[in-house]
Order: sequence, then C-alpha cells, then structure tokens
Amino acid sequence: MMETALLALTEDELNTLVSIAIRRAEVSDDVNSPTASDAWHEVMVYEERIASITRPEEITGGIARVGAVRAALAAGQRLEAARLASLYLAEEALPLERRVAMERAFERDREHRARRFSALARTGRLAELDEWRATASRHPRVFPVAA
Amino acid sequence: METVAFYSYKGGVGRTLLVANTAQFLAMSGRRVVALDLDLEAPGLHQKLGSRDVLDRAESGTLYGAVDELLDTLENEPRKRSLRETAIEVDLPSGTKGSLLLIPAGSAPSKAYWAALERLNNSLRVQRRNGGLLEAVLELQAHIADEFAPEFLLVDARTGITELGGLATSILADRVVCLTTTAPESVKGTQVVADALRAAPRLSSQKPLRIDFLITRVPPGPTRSPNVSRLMEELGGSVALLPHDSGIAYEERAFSMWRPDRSPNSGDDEYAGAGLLSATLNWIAASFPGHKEDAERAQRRMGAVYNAWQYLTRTTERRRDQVFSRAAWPLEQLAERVRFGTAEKSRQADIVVYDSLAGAPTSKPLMIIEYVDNEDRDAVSQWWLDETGAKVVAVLSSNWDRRLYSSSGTWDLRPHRSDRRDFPLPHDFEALSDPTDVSVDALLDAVRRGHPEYLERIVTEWARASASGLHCGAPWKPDIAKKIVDGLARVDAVELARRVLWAAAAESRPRGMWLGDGDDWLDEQVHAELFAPLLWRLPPEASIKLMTGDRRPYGPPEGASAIALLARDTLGLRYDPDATFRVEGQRILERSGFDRDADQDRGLYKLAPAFKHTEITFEISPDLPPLAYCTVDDAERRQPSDIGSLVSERIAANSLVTTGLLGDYQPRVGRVVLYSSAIAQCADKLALRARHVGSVTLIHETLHALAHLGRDLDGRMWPEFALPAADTPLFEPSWFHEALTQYFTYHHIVRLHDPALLHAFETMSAKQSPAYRAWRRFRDLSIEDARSWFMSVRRGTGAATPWSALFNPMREES
Amino acid sequence: MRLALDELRSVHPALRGDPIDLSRCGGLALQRSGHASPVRSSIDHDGHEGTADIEWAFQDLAILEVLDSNRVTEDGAEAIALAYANSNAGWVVKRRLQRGESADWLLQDGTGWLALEVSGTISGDPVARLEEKKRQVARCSLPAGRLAIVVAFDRPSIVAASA
Repeated sequence: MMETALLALTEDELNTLVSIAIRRAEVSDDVNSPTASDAWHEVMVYEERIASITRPEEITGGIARVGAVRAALAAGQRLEAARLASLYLAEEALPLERRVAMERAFERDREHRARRFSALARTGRLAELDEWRATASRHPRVFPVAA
Repeated sequence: METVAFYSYKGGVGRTLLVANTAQFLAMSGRRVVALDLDLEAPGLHQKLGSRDVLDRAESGTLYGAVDELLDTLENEPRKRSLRETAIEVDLPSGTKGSLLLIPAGSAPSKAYWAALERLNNSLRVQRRNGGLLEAVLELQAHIADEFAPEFLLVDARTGITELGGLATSILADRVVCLTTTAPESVKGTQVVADALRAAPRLSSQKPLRIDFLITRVPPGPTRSPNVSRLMEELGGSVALLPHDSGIAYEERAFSMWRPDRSPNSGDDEYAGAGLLSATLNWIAASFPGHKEDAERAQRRMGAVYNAWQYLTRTTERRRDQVFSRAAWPLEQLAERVRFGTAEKSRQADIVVYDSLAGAPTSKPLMIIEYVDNEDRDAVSQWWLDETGAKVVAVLSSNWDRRLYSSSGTWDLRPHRSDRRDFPLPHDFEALSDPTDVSVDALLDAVRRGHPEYLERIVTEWARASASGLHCGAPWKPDIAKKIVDGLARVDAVELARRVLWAAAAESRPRGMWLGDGDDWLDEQVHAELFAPLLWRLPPEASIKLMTGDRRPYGPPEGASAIALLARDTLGLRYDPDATFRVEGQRILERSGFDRDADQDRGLYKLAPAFKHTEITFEISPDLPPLAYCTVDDAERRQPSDIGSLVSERIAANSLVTTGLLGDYQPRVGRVVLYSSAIAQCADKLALRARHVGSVTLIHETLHALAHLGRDLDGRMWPEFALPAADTPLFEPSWFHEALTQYFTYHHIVRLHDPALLHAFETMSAKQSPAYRAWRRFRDLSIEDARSWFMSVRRGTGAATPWSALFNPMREES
Repeated sequence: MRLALDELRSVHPALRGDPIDLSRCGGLALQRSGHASPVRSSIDHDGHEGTADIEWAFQDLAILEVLDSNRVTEDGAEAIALAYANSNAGWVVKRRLQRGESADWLLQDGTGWLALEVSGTISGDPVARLEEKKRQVARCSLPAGRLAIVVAFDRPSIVAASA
C-alpha cells in the first residue's frame, strides 16, 4: 500500500486490515507458502502504522508495537525488528508487560534459529551475522548477498 | 581451518581444475583438506576429483552433495543427514599422510540434481525469514569444521555476480583466489569484484580478507606482454601468471588425470602442458607454504604421473618442427587412482592400463604405473605383478626415473627388470612377447613377424650403435649394428621390405634426428651403411620401388643415391643423370640462341624428356626374357612353360647367363629389367631363393648400366661403351663386359657381408657360361687395378693394360 | 438467545472488508454436521447453562470440497463465538491478535477489553479442549479479560470459560 494511502487510514480501518493480514500470514505459515515472508511484512507495516497513531500505554498501542516487532521477525527482517524494538523500548510509557513480550519475541526467534543452525549458534556466529547485516546494509554492495 | 575460495568473474579460466589440483597437492603434502563445490548452477568438481563410482552415482542421481546438505539444514529440524554420509573420501597414493574429502554439489548433471536445486531455491524463499542462504552456507562450513577439522577448506565458488558467489568469497572465505584471463571483459569484471571484496564488511571474528590474483592462459613468449604487465599493475596485490596451453584448452582434467586434446591440429608433443603443470604446482607450493619436503615430493609425484599420462595418450608428436601421428592408448582403456588389494594390504595405482574398457567387469590390467617414494621398487613391482597379473609394472620415482618390470616367465617368479625407459604402447603388447623387451633381437623379431612400427626404433638403435668418435654419448657397438642390418635384410615380405627401406632412407627422416642439430654426416652414414646395403640385400621387388621413384612427385628416387654409391664405391664412377641434362641441355639452349632472360627455366625443362635415357630405370617383367625368343637351333618362339626347360638346359650345359635370361640392360633407353619367371625357374633349379637370384641379377645389370651411363671423375661419359643388345638372334654375351661386371658384382656382394647372397652368386656362377666365369681369373686383382683396367677399356685403351693377358676369351675357364 | 450469523458483520464492524466470511463458514460447519438452520445449541459459560438458537443462510456443501476442512471448523467456531460474545455481553471485535498474544481476538465493550481464544470441534468432548484453550488464554499478558470458547458442531454446543 502506498505510504500516502496508509497515512489516510483510520485506526478502525487499520485494525480491519491488520486482522485480514494476520490471518493471511498465519495461513501462509501453516502451508509453508513462499509468500509467508511477504505476508508478515504486510502485517508489520499495518502494526507499525497503528503503533504510530496510538499511545504506548494504550492496549491497542502496546499490541501494535509488539505486533510490529513480531511481524518483522516473522518476515525475516531482523534488522527492522531491531530498529522497531529500539524505537518502542525507548518509549517510557510502554508497559513492562509489553517490553517483556517484545523480548520474548526476540528470544523465541533466537531459539528457533539456533535449533535450525545449531553449529552457528554454538560458535556465536548467529549474533555475528546480525551485526554483519547491520553493517552490510550501510555499505554499497556488488554481490547481492541478502542482508 | 583456513577457507580458500577460488573465484572467477568469467568461466573457462581453469578455476575448477585449479581447485582440484590444489586439493590433491595439499593432501599429498600431508594436509587434511576438504574440497567443496559451491558452483551449484554449473558444478564440475566431482568430475575432476571423483572416482568412476562417484561419476556413476552422479549419473544415476544418487550422489549427495552441498545442495542436499543445504536443503537438510533449511527443511529439517534437526537435520536428518550426517555430513559424513555426504563427504567422499578421495583415494590418495599409498603412504600419503594427508587426506582429501570431496563434498560435491550433488548428482549433477542428472535430472534429480536440477530438481533438488529447484527445491533449494524454493526452500530459500520459504525459509527466508528464518535465515537464508547466508546462514545455511555458514552452517555447512561450521559442520565441516566440526566433523572433519580440516586444515584447508577449498571452495569452488560460483562465477559472475551472484549471491552464492558473494557469500563464498566475502563471508565464507579467509582467502580468495581470483582467476582471470587477459580478456578485457574478464579483467574489468575481476577489478570490480576485487574492489567490492576489499571493501566488503566481514564478520567481527574474521580477519581481513586476503585476495590473490591469478592470470591464466597467458600467451607464451620469452617476455611478458605490455598488456599483461599493465593488468598486473591494475589488479595490484599478489598476482601470479599461468601460461596458456592449447592442449588443455579443450578438455580440462586434474593434472594427475589430464588427457591431451585430441584435435588433429593441436600438434601437441611430449612437452605440451609441461610448462603449465610446472607453473601451477609452483604457484600452489608458494601459495600454501609449509611442509616443504612433502610439498616437493607431491610436486614430483604429480609431475611424474602427469608426464606418464601424457606419454601414454598423446596421439601426435613434434620432432624438429614437424608433427607426426603416434600410436597411443585409447583413453577408455585408462583409469587413474585405482586401488588393488585387500583391506589388510592394498596399494593405489596412479594409472592402470586395461586390455579393454576400463571398469568393465571382464577387463584386465595390462600395465600398472605407480609413483613410489622411499620404497623398495623391486618389492613394489613384485607385489603388483602378484596381485594384478599385469604384464608390466612401471615404478616411477621422479619425472625421468622409471623402472619397468615384467613377469620373467612361468618358472621364475621374480620380476624381470627391463632396460626400457619409455612406456609400452598398445602395439608393444601385441607385437612383443615381453612388452618391456625392446632389445634389438626382440624388435627384429617383431618386424619380421609383420610389425613395421618398430622400424623407426631399430633404425635409431642402428644409428646409436654405429655412431662413434665424432659423436658423443653413443658407445660404438658394431656387432649390434651388424645384427640390425642382417636382421632387416632377412625380411622376405615385399611390402615389409619396402617399409624397411623407407625407414632407413635418409629422406624420410628430419635431418639431424638423433644426436643433435647439424648431423648431416650421420644422415649420410645411415644412407651409405644402412639404406644402401639393405637396398641390394632385400627382395628386389621392394628395392626397385625405391629405385624407380614412382611415389615421389619431384626429385630423384630414394634409391638414386644408393645407385650412386654403387657407382662410386665399386666402379669409381659418378652417377649423376641430372648432370647430363644440366650441361648438355644448357649447351643446346645456347647454340639455339634461346633467350634466357625471357624464359629463364622453361626452355630447359622442355628438353628434359630428351635426356630421360641418361637416368637408369628399373622394371620387373613377367615376360619371357629375350633369350627365350632367340635360339640358334629353334626359330620358333618359346612358350612360357618352356622357360623352365630353357633354364634347365642352360644349367645343365653350364651356360647359364644373367644378361638376356635372368635380367637385361637396355642401353638405348637406360632400363634395367629383371625377368621374374626366369629368375624363379633358376632359383628353383639351383635350390636357391628367388629373392637372392633376383638381387644378384639386379646388382649385375645395374653395374652394366652404370658402366654405360656413369661418368668418370672428370665428368666424361663414354656412351659407346655399352652391352650388345640381347634381343637379337646372334646375341652372344660380351666376355669382357660380363667378366668385368661379374668381378665387380662379386666384390660388391662380398662388401655386403651377406652369406646367402654370396652363396647364390657363387652357385649361379658355377653354372654360368665361360664369359660369366672368366672373372675368376682375376678375382685376386685388387679392385683399384680392376677399376683402372675398366676405365681404360671404357676409353678404348684397354688392350694396352698389363692385365690384358689375363683376359683371353679363347682360354677355357677352369 | 439468538445468534444470527448473517448479522455478524453488522455487530462486529471490524469484520467488514474481510474477504473471509466467517458466518458462511459457521453455516457450512453446522450443515456439515447435519444441522439445519435454525439449530438450538446448548451453552455452558463458566458453569452457567443456557441455550441459543443459531441461524444462518443456507450453504451449498459442495464448496466443502475446495475448502480446508480444519479452517472451516475454526472459522465457523469463530463466527459462532463472536456472535455469542456480542449477544451475551455486547463484546465487539476491535482487531485480530497475532498468535504470540495467546489469544485470537481483542474485543471491547466500551469500558473494557476482552482477549478471546476460540476453537472448534466436530466430535468428542469439548470440555477437554476448553481446558486447553483456557490455559492458553490465561497466558495472555494483555490488560484485558480472558475468555476461551469452544464450539462443538456435532451437538451443537458452546462451552466458555473465563481465565
């Protein structure tokens, strides 16, 4: 959805859209669809928008903030997830429960990756890769290594 | 573990070959190595390093590899396969301390592989959010380190600008070897990639990436081209060069498995590829230092095995700027790195030559080649002979040090060590009872049994045995030389005899063939002491072919110089048919006022047919000889069946003649004719061989011809000195001509040292007419005196010589 | 209590625009279990028993051949549960929740919030499933009430438990 169109949506409209997107993304996950990443990216976009028009202490704002981070991780966009988390955790009004939920989301993601890439996890390379991605994204690239 | 990625922007630069060679070299140097093929879209490393079993599995779609490992990581939690099930142990020579494991890309090029690759691409899309290719490839690297703890992980990376190529170089590797040719597109691409790699961020635990450049297919030449020098400057850093080799350009295999290009135009010789091999091994040794002795040993080994393979399989060879075809082993009969034996005791042959298709159930090894270091070579060869039943075992211990062994026989089980240094080729196993036996006796025996392919070798041996004094390095062995000449002279089959003469003819060889440049003297020696004697000793049907020059489009026949030698050494004359043409023809042109400037050569050539009679021609005729038509008592023509009775009558009456019956010289046309039916009858009646009777007749009639057409040393000819024609009813042999000619014939045959020929001459002579026996009166006359007498007679002053008294035609021959 | 599945979108405006029609799935799931509209369903909400008449528009069961059976069950259960939550206590859907929140839906009634976890069964005892869902929704850390509803299509019955 174009940025301007997104900005014009009301919270209720966004809630409807995020609901639809969540359902689609979860179904994509269930059937191992290659479009799952894209579906979660859409969820992330809506959650992020909802977060931007709600306050962190509001229940819907808290849900959207954690939801944006979760969706970013589900889409494989760890850098983005880290950026969003950094942004939201800096909001003092964000309830503790939401902070814990956000951390749990990262933890589950790490565990999942560690199970799949056990050797890298054992050597600490998974964390190095995340750092590398952050650095590589700022460098001009020739080889299209996914960052 | 050091990870080294081999990368090239463009394909076809020799990258995969280099990976294979580097892996082998390092393993043979005592290192633990894993070679990983990450060129998933165009895999080939298993073709270079895999055994036949590996290639069969790839074709059948059952070879697991990197694609399967990556899929396992992405799709299964936990993984289902162990990396040990996928890695293939590459068999290394016995005693190697190192190890080499191959992880191929997969079952390429089977359909199963491409299906797996597609599945991998899909899986990467699905699993992207869990970690994509980056994590999967690094996970594979980590597993390799965990499972095998290699010292080196060599990666064959994808060409071009791709994600996988980028992963393999910028993140996976500790070092990148960038290969490029001098082609502009390759260079430009390499520069872009190199800059990108230098600037690419690394994982925090990694050291800065080391980049080495290798420019391959550099054109040969004593000096580096300016383009290459500029390229080296532009690339910067560590840059090495590998020379171009057309022999490898078409078909690349690892050096221990290299086979030459079979293009008919390649003109490869025994040194083709040697420069590239040497440069490659030197680069590897310099790039991966340490274990110096092991590395040098590996280098020697790879070089020796490479040279052996090349010798066995190249189909052409270059000698002195000419390319000759060469018998070689079919590639399908060769296999490399084959292990024999049991679990308790086994050895790996570097090369096995089979009697049929290698790997077929019924094929048997003919020859085993193994490079051996610090082992008892006799014991090793014994083991191979016992284990495999091969006929030949070749034990190498450096590039040029080879020992060949064969089974010595049924009663002596020890291996027989041969003096032979080169490897037997296919015909050696067919022609020689012991393929390693290239003694003169064995070669002569093979030639006589119809294997003319050894003639070149025999002639070379003759030259070595004959060379003395002026030539270094070859001890004089006159007995061997004589054995060769006598052995070759015994060849009966006409076509084989012709091949013998061709091999011995100087014109058939590049000059200075054996012992270095400028060996014109040696060529003359071969001609005078090998070719010329054989020409007179071999069946005349073969000799005459080389004397008539039918097969040469220009120039005198091969045998012309042998005739000239006969004229010179026996009669003291010069035989030079062209001289008459040059001198007399020029005189005619000048007298006719021919304008030489207007047409410099063609006038002279128009006169050529008029001078044909000055060149001796030769013919074997099945017709009746002249004497068969001319009898004193019976004017009727003789029938062909009567030639036998004519010969018998002549023999019985001791009036056998050569001229007019067995052969003839026709002075009007300068032709020597042999009458084959008469010769056969004569041989039969006298219990001689027809070839010997024919050779005696040929020598005799040729001497007649030379007496007529030969020139004195001062160049004068005496065209009036010729035989009376034998085709007239009143023909009587000229006593003088025949006596002198018989004398010279005798002396020539004596100098040939051919007992059979001498026996034929003397047997015939005993039955010949007085004119043919008269020579005995002056057989003790020295040949110089005989020549002098002959010359004086030619000039018409013979009656006044001191020897005239010896010659009285009215005296009966005792 | 009347649960009119066709009115789902009017009582829960947030469901408008969703290409998936939950009410249709509800009808399909009920008809699949052999019921016809209207059907009386038993209700057990935290031990309080009751009944509800569920109404829906007739559905052509042929569509079941192309739909995922489990999805029909779950979506159908969500339709009935949402209809019940609204009819029983006036809860209105605010938005769907991601799985990590341990609940399916966030509802509001103007004064408070409810996290709702729904499941459906086509046979067997729904109580065991309800216990499981109750434990799950109890893990929801949102500042909201927590309710688990299991719809058993065979009977039909609606069992609900607050966590």
